[in-house]
Amino acid sequence: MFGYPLVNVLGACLIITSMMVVLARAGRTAAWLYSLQSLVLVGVLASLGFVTGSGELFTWSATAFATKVVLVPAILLYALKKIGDDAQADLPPKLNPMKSVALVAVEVFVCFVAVSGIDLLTAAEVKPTLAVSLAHFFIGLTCIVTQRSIFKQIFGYCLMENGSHVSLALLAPEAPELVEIGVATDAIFAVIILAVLVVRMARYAHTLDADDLCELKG
Amino acid sequence: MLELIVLSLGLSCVTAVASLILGKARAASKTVACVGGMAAAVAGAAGGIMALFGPAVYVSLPGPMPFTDFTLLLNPLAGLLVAVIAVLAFAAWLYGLSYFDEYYDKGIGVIGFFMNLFIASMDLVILVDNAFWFLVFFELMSLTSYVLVIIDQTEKSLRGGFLYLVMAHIGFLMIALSFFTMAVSAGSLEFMDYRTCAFAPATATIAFVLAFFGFGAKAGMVPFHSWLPQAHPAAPSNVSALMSGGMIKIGIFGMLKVCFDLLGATGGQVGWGVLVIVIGAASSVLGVVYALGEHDLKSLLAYHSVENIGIILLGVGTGIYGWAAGLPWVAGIGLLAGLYHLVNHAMFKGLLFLGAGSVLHATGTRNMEVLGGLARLMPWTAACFLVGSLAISAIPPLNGFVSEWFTYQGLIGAAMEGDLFLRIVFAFAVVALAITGALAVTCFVKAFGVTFLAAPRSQAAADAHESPAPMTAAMVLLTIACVALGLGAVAVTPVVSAIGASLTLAPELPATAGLELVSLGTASVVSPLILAVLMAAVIGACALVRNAANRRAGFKEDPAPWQCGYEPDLSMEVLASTVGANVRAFMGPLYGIRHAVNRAGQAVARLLERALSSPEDAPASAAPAAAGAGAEGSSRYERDLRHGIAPAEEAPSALSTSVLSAVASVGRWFSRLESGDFRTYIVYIVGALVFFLALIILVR
Amino acid sequence: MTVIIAVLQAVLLVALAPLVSGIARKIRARMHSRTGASVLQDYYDLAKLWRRCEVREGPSGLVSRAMPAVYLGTMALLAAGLPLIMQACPVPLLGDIITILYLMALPRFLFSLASIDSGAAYPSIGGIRELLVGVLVEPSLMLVLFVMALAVGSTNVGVMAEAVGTLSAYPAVAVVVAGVACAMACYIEMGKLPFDLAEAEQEIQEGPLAAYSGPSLAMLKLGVSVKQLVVASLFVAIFLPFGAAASLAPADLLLGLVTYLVKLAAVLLVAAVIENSVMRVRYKLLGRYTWFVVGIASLSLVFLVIGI
Repeated sequence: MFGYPLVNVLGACLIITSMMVVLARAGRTAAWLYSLQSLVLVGVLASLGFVTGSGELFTWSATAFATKVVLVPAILLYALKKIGDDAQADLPPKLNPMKSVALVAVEVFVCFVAVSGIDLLTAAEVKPTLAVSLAHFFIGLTCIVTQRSIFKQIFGYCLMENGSHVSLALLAPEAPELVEIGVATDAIFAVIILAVLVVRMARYAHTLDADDLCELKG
Repeated sequence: MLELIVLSLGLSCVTAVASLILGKARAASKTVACVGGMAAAVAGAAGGIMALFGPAVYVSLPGPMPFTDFTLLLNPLAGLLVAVIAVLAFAAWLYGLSYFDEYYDKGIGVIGFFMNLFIASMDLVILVDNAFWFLVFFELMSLTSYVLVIIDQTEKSLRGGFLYLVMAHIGFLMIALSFFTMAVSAGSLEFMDYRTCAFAPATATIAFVLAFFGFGAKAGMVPFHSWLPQAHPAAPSNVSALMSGGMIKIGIFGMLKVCFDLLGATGGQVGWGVLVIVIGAASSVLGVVYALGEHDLKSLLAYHSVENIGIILLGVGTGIYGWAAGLPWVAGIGLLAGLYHLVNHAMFKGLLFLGAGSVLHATGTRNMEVLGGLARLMPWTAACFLVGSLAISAIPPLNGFVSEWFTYQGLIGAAMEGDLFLRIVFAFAVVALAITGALAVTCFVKAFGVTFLAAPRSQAAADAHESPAPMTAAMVLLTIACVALGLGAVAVTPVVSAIGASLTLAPELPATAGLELVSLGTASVVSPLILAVLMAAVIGACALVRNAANRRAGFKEDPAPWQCGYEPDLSMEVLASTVGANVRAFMGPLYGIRHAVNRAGQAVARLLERALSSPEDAPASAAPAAAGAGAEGSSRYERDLRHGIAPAEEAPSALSTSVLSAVASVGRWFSRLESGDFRTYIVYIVGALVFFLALIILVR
Repeated sequence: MTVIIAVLQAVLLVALAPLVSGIARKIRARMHSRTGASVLQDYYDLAKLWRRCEVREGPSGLVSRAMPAVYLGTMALLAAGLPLIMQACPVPLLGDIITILYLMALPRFLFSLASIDSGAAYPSIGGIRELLVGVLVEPSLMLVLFVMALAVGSTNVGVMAEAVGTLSAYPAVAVVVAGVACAMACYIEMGKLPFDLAEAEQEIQEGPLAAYSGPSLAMLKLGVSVKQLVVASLFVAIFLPFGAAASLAPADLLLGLVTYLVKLAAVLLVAAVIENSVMRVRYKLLGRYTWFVVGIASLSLVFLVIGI
């Protein structure tokens, strides 16, 4: 069928785009890349909806578009503007790019293996996408852990969010809208709070370097 | 009956919160706390006393999780303890109406809050019938009393409080292990299931021994007694009375509950009874011997609590032995003795602590060496303290004598039925009890004599004044209770022996006949009431005759005592250390035990530290060296006059030292995992999540 | 009837006490090749003291005032309860050994308390020594009585007396050894030389008695003498009950009274001879003697447990 391979391809694109988000240097670039990634996510959701024939998934993809593609990057860019140039939002990550890519690959592989034991409601063909979404979670975690700039760590969080979103969609496509609302609000509000915190920390400490911030006492 | 107790609990909680809210308005907060506390105590006492006579009440409320059902059981044993604690609480709150004036600066709202919660948690520990809630309220009890112990916020009280906390948690751990041992076999955390489940003998023994030592740590028996003389003096005196009279009894209650109630279906073993008796004998002798070395009035009383817990354990041990060996008479009288002494000790120890508090209130010091001559200035306090001293020394016809009489009868009766080995054990116990009695007489002659009699040895003692009315009223109340429990033994004995009979599920033994207390196995009788009448008559006759002669011949006063021609001097009076030195001369080895155990404990602590810590860690020893002796040339009396009570002479207890340093070393080793970077923590969290998910999947 | 016997016993012992101490003093004098004072001297002393004015010295208070009366009263009460003339106790509730031992603790408590109350050094030391002697003697006394209770099956002194009197106390050797230990313990408790520590005249000036005068001193001296008699009678009652009345027949009672006086005299004679042949034991060596007595008592316990 046309649907399933599309889903899997889009899943692969998810991995690539999220890797780009992780590797991006400048904050603005990361934000735009994240927007792109969320667009791919919308695509995954839409195609899933197409494939499973559930109407909820279409609504999901619509709301995901509104929140993740539009709102979240907007908030992040606004925050970036607020921080301005005096906080080095463009710090190099702890792991060099090659190691990050290797780590991501390993994570995807491990998730693949872990997922192979699960029975999917949708269809066995989209198992790779489930592996991808699970891996997304860990990629986001990797981003948080390896980035030195706390601004970039917000992206890590958002990636984790995306991963869980897709996993939910894959495992429970018939879920009612309430769940969707929950996920959406979670994404928005968490990002808002994180952004506010980052802005304030930047104002106070004039640095976004996590290593420096860890030295803060009391 | 349960409703009354629930009412009392509710009143306590409301009063606690009200007192905390009113914290800034100090007098109002104190009054609210005390009056509310008294009301709660009255309700609790009424409920407890009614429960002594009625059938057991069992209530169960489902909780959020399957093992957290909130079950309450109000049987006569629980009723007895609730009543005892309530009476003590009433006296403590009444006392506090004047006594807490001193604590305005230390946070009277906090005191009111925690003391009310303390009493409520004690009641709840007694009532709950579910292992989970028992542990929760047990912990709450320890924590609330910890705050009360450190309320003075001095170096000494903080040290004492910390030691208390460590010991309480050692006990808690052992009790929890005991419950879980039983839970593993019974499959639930409800006491009702333990009652009906017949455990394997090995499981039952493990559970009993763990519970015995765990509750024993709370009760303050040897070898877990070292927190008592450091924690009780630090707390306010009425809180000390409550802790010493009420909280350590919860330890005994726990032992009885585990042994007879929860392991009842399994049946006991003779070895348990022997263990309890041996430790009880050791506690009683060591407690009073160490008390003789003290010159701080409240530490002395705290050590006496150790002694009396030993005596209670002798009775309880006899009961366990009799129950396990199938001797219902021995079991009955043993439990009667143990429970009666529990009630008696609560009354007279509470009274003595309140008296010590009055002394502290009037003179500002607890140091007996610099007091003296207070009987003339504080007649009511002195009279109450004297009655308390006579009661605790088991002088007929007061209440201490009655319970010790029963203890002896139980031990001798059990020995009559026992075999070779058991006879030796009981002989040892009887001799220990006799030594304890004689030493207690010595100790209280010292305590009362040095503090209240002779002439004042310092300005503080000479400036003393009688305590305010509420404090005196509280002491008089407890004095009346002591006398009533002694003279009215014929009325109290059937009630208490019924509780003992209900525990062992045996028919009640007839321990009273008319006005006399009867001991069936040894065919002896005693009657405190008749004894009191006879004593009053004969002594009164002698006194009258002597007074008549005095009136005829007249008398004159000579203010200076005859000192063999020397000019009378205040330093010629007897001090607490005089008596202590005399006893130490004869009982030296017993003091040496404490010293040796502490040295051994420090050695164990250092060993553990070296094993667990890395070489670059600074060897921070957890056991500070004992404070050095005072300056040469000046007597201890003079030093005490100048500086107050010398710092604690003994090193902190061996057990807590080794446990503390072990925990510290393990903690230091684990602290390497803490990098301070939040990102590693995130990895830990997610790692743990993944681990547990994998675990679940694998288990499925 | 038994009540009359009880009262009679109390009165008898109180009345006899000064005579007994007089006889002891006479024996001492004879042994020292002196004539000595009359045996009735103590009666004259008491009468003289009774008429004297009392001096209340120092900071002493109510405890000191009350002590002599309590001392004498308690000892008289104890005397009333012992099975001296009869084999059974005239007043059973005073015949329990626990009651007896703890009733003896009351005078000791107040004796020492009053000595501290006097505020003087020598009485206080004497009082503390009295307490310590009590502490050291108590274990041996209790152990002996424990052995007897197990041998006889009761803690009532009267039952013990009956059992020993009819030679039905089992096991026999244990009872005999217990008797020896009890004799020694009672001797120490009596406070006769060499264990005269509470009132060591040469050392601490009669100890607590130095704080008293007049009628109070008379009562206290009488009380101390009665205590010696009571302790000796305790030993006689339990271990030498031969001849005591088994029933309430007047002839038996008279015989019992006579045999009691004879036994008491014999015991006190032996005590007097020992007393006057030794000097006071050094206070810090007291432990040696008391632990020796505890050892003998433990021996009797071992015999009891083995069943000899």
